[in-house]
Amino acid sequence: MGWYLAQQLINAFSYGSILGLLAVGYTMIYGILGLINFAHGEIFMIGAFVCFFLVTLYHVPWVVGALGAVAGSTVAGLLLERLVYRPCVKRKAPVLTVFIASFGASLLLRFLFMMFFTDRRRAFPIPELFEKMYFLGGVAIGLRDIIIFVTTIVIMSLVACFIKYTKLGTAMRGVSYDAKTAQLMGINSTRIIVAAFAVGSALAGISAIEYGLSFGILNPAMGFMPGLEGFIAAVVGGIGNVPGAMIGGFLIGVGEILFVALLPPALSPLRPLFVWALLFVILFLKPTGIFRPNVKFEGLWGE
Amino acid sequence: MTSGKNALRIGKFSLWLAIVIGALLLLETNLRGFHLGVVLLFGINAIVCLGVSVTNSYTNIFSLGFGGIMLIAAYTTSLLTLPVRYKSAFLDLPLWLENAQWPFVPALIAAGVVAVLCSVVLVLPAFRLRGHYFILASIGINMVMTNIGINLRSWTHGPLGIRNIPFYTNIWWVYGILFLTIFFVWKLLRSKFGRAFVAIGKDQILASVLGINVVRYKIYSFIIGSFIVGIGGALWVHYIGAMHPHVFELVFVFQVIAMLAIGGSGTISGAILGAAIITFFTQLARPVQEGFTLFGLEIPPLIGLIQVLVAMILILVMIYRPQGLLGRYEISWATFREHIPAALRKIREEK
Amino acid sequence: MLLSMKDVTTGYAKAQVLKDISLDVNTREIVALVGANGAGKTTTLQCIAGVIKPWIGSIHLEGRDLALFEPYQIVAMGISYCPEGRDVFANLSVYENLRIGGYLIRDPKQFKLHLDRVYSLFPRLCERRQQLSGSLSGGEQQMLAIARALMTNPNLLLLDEPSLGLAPILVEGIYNRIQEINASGTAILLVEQNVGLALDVSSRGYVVEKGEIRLSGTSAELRDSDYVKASYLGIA
Repeated sequence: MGWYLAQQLINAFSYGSILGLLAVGYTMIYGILGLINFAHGEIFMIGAFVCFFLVTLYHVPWVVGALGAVAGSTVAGLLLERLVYRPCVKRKAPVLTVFIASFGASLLLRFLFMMFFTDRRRAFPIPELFEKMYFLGGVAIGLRDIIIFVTTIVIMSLVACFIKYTKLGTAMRGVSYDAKTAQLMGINSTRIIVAAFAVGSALAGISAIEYGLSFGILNPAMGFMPGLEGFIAAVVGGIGNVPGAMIGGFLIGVGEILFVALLPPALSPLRPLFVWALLFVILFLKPTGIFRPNVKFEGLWGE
Repeated sequence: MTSGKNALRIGKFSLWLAIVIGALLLLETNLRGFHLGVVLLFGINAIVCLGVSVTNSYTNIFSLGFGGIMLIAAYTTSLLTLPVRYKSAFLDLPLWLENAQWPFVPALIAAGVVAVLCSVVLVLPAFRLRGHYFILASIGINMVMTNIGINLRSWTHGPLGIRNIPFYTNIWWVYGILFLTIFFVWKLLRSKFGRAFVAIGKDQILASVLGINVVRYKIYSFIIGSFIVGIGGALWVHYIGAMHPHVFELVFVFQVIAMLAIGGSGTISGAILGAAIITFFTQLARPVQEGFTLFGLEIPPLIGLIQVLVAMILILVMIYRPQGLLGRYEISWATFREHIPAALRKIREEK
Repeated sequence: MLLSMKDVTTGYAKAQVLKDISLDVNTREIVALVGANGAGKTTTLQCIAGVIKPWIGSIHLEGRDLALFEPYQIVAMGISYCPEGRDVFANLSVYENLRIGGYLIRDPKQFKLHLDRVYSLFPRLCERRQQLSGSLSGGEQQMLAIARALMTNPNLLLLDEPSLGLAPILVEGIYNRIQEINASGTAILLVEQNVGLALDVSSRGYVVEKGEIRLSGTSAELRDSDYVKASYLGIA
């Protein structure tokens, strides 16, 4: 039982990493723009597809493919900002309008990929090198799991340092807290928004590669569930709060895997229910998430 | 004097009723198959849009949970009307439900009532939440309902779905209910009760200061909205004749949101216009999506094209006309009697 | 002349607040803008800072039309706005607040220079530089807000109600600092409800009432005018 639990925990950390990276993206964009980027899951999906095309069809080295995925996601995120959100923000559209537009953008991207590439599942390219397994007592640890976990920790530390110690990161926190005052300090909020989209989307790209490594598949609908769960993780962590989102991601990921692992197999189809139940319980106890949301004004929605 | 006026009004009303009934009769006798389906779907979508607009537009509680509510309502009416032999063959229901053979109207009302109960139970705890948290919770309602539909096999036959649900829906039911709904919402918005919804929608704090019990009226709004939406779901299932846990998932929810957003939320005519645009567009574009032969040229199927186009239209409308095509403008008799002639006159004068 | 505002009419959405406001600020002077609550003083400052645009009229800074620029660009042109109610970034430390204040400074050496200058002006902030600014006292937050606005080394500082909600002893401290800032070469447009105080430190003043300039002149003239005495200073 102990070994089994340890084994499941290792699986859980991979999934937690994926969700954590997604949640940070949601939370950063929310903090800066006051907007839930509903299309974040699709940006994630685009990253996986770019890697797939580069490696499987054009036979570039895997590392180049992975970098391509991050670049692809970043470009997709920036295009989304430029073509959908910026026009809305420029016209001072109400938050709800922008949300509906982002809902539209999410379906647009998903069905666009479905239209061109069908919703068939494809195999995500995994280098043979990564298939290596280490055995520690009764636990099998794949090199993949180690790579996923270490990458996530490194990336998250980098993001945390970026937010904490650089001028741009400080400015982002300032805009997130009070955009009106921040512009009086000479901060061009458009540039900060672009930066948030770039960083958030790049993280989604990294998360997509980890997802591919962990599950070995990709299809146009792959962004939907991790996207929603990343969003849940961001809310659980207190939206706008970057470290909170990281912890929220691990919490949801680990909780979900352990739910399936520890309860009788008959209950495992209820896995999606568990996430929502967890969300409802947390929101019921603390309506703004576990950690303090990093936004000054609640009720941005005119409620 | 007044009796004369009343007689005139009754006369006018009967004239309009006759025209509407005549038009529906014409539609019923002439339309078959695909075209009839489009007309029916438009009616059903318009009903759903009106129901959703009560909560989402007038009371301004942006909920995406109506998909889950419709699912419950549709399952309710399916189980109540499904012939007993199918129920005993595929499902494992309690005896009273297995033997239930309700006629259409009671089943429809039962669907609405179950929808209302369900929405109140689900939405009450969610009222603690605001903005994005509420939206997330409402998406959760959809996901949870779909998941229950998939996993509660003894009641829903899981992902395989239920077939052989009687086809009760026809033009008369759909348009009869649609006109009733329009009339009801129209009256509601002009009553003290409905104005409380609009007041909450405009400014919740101001409404509470004016003495409106905000939470209570929000619940009323959900009760009314869910009832209409539930009826819409029930009509849909009796039109399709089959039920499946995924039918009212987020893609469907998105289409309804798109209808309201494109048509112009906040008015009855906006909701109906949106329903018309999206329904006719998606149904007419269906052959294109499924691939066809044009002058001997094979056009391959493009699954998802419709959603892509709807999403594009939605985004463009949100950017360039965020209030929707009609905005706050309500099409009424005055439109034809005064506004259009006035506009024409203005154009003529400018020339 | 540093700043000149000519016949500016503006407001929020459709509600007009200011009507034909004209005022000038010369280099290195303190100009007071006084008046009652709701007279339009803050709106005037917001209009100069670019938060709202003039409907009619023009605002020029050293000959450049400010209406053409966004607020963040106006900061780069040498106008700093220290908003009313000390809108410090409460989730950031004192140092981080100042860092955002100096967002426009590219050169780290330059940044350090300004930081030291601000710390020497407000030693209390230096002591508390690692503390969350939300946990500072009201007076310290006001110091921080002023310090933050000074980080870009502006030619013109727009100060909105620096005495608001502070104990008299703190107000005195803040006003001493304001005079020091001015002595180092920064022109200040000072908005105050506390008319006597504002006229004491300023060289010229404008009295705003219901969105219009009621009186203007040197501070000494204003202080001696019967109207100001009766309406604002409580001297019959």
